[in-house]
Amino acid sequence: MSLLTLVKRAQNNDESAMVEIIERFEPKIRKSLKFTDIGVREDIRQEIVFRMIRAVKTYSTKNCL
Amino acid sequence: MFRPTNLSNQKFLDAFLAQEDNQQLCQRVIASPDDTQKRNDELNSRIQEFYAELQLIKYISSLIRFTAIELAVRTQKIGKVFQPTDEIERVIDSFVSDTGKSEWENKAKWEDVIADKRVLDAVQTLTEKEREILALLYLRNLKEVEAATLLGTSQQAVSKTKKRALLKLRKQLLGGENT
Repeated sequence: MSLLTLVKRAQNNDESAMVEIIERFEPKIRKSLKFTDIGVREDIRQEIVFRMIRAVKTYSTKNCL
Repeated sequence: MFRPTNLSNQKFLDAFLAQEDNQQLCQRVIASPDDTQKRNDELNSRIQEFYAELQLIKYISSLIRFTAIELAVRTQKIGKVFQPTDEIERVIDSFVSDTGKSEWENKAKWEDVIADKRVLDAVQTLTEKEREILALLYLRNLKEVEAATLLGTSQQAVSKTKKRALLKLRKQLLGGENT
């Protein structure tokens, strides 16, 4: 399933779609966390996921097909 | 909106054509340009879709990356802000604790901190050396190493004396209870 479809479904409060989006970006998150302090890594991960959810919810899909 | 005519988007088109069904569709369009408008539109909409998808991936990826960088930098800054305070405290501490033996000797009084008469008596039975070390360690809250430097002995010697003194105290207090 394309990411756009997932985002649209997540915007309609489909929780499984949101989980799928976060899981798809998991490698990217892990890679970005590599250079951070281990002590604060978990906090940063939480913040990243939180911001991702916010971004997905507010992403404008209007000018996409 | 993606413009297929733009040459700088070569990379994007390559990625698009890497998907087999896209490539087949593209070849069919090229092979028969006179074909109905329908197939042309399909190709176009697929490209737009692919482009939107890529934009979204890029958007979330940068969001992840920049959030990680931003927060990592922020925690580093907080660590730096607190450090100078520590430094100042350390300097003050060194002034306070290096003022000489006579001062701490007078200041530390067992009577002030021990309310229990029995414990106080037990402390008085210790040798001068043992009392001195316990006073440094527990009344002045020094580390064993610091006490050792003040007394001009090694940390191991301080530790040994401390253990012996505590053992004496414990024996005395427990023995007092039994009688």
